[in-house]
Amino acid sequence: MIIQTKNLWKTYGSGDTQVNALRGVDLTVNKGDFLALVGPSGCGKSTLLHMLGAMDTPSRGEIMLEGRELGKLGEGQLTDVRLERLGFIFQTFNLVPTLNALENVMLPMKFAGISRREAKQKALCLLDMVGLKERTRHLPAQMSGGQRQRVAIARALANDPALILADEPTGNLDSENSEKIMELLQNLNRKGRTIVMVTHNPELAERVNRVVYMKDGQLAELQRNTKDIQSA
Amino acid sequence: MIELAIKNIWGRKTRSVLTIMGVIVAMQLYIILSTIMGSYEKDVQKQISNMAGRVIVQLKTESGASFLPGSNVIKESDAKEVMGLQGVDNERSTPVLIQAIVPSKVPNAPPTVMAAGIEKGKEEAYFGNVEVDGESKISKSSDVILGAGAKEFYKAKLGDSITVRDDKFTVVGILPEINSQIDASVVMNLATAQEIFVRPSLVSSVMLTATQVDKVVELAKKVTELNPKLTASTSESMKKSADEMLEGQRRFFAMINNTVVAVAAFIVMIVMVMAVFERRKEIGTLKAIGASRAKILGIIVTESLTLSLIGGVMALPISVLLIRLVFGGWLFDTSQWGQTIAVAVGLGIFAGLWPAWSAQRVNPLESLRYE
Repeated sequence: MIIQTKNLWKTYGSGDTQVNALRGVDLTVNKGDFLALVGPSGCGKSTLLHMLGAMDTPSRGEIMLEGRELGKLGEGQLTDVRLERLGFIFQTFNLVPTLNALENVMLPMKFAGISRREAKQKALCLLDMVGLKERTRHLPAQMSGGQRQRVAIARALANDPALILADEPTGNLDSENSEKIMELLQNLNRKGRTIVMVTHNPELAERVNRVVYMKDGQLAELQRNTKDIQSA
Repeated sequence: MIELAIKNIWGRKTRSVLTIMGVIVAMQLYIILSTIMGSYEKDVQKQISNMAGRVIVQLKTESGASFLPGSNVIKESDAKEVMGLQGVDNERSTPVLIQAIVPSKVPNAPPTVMAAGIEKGKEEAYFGNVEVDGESKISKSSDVILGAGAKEFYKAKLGDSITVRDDKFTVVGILPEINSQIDASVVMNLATAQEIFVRPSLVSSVMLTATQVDKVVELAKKVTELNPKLTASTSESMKKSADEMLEGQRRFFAMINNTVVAVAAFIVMIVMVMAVFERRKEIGTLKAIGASRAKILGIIVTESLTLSLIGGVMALPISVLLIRLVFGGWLFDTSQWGQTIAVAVGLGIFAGLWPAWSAQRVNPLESLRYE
């Protein structure tokens, strides 16, 4: 088990304006899972992703990441968790515009105190893996959306995270690039990476091995796809 | 973090260039004011130390003795009477007539070039016992000895002819650098100076040397007792009045300098606050991927420090050129440069603190919120 939530609640506001974004969510993500969080807007899937990503704290309940309860960690420890154990892929890529592809991928490694030489070597390997060997010196503005998202995936892998969290990773891409990114994520999963992805796209949800439907801050249904597991 | 800071500065060229220009303008003003004040202070101290064992006699005014003689005149007969006092080393004392030839561009500063009329044969009483290139005495009324600054102004060498007030003079001696007053002097006969500046039987002051160094204060007292219209200043009293004058100037310059530095800090701070505001999503992303609060603080402060330091360093040669253009001299002080760099560093850190503080408080959720 990589991450587990127990009776997870997130409440915003108080009194009459109180809103329960999450209402007692119990979810377990095992090593090697490729899980899709699906549901209508406002159902709480992004809030759940923030909780899993140690970016927000629960109002009630527990989140256990590799046996550590995130709710009990201080801000500095949560930062370390995000740096060393989690990798983020954003819908709008969120690359640093003034850094080239190589430097963007090196950034989390530099934050982790890895030497420049080692970080550069690893960043080059990761960019090669995502098919951007020829684009290492390009700035984000000089790359297509698909290329930028591949740089973001390489950056998410920089510190060998236990869990990759992807928030609508194909939401800003055309169908051709969406397909490439999805293939890349599937390949990573086949190599043993654990991925949790938020998506609106039912076609993408069909290509993962677990789908979690959310409604009104609760898990409505858990579906296990066998097609992808078999093809792997 | 320096790499990311420099990339941010380079990636936002227009903003960075304008900020650096703002810092340059403020810092070069700081350097110019500090250099002028510093060199003025040094020169005053040098002049005072040259006056050790001497008494300067001038006309008493409501504002007291002026540190640089020349603004008032006294009768030559009164000067002669003073020179006749017991305890005066007559050989090393002289009446002096100071008249500006080229006024200074700096307010209240001594003239750039000035005539110093000295009693014949007593030139050393004015400029001291220094090694003179050429003659140290003026034998003819058409001869002059030039101070180092006056020599530069006239671009003259020994034997050259220079014109002062339509009269031609021959340069018979050139002095080494001593202090700004003597450097600016065209030393000539007192009678000649009185004639060409139309100051008949008048002098600016009397430079007295006491026969015994420990009797200087006593001699000064005798002068004022002899002629109450006169004031006699020893090097100690000159130092006191110079200190009072310098203290006022120091306060004035410090006020302007502090304002200039505050303006520069304000410019950098505004730019950094705007930069942090524009980059909330980028900062949120950095936090989301694991940048600690200290790292974010470091990135913003380094960026602010780099902008300020580039501006401060670039202001150094620019200020030297501006001083040369405006005041006509190569005036620079390396210790002043060190101080300027220190001020630029302090300014950069100070200006970056508030923006950095607000940046490190950005929630990592900002990375997703504006999507």
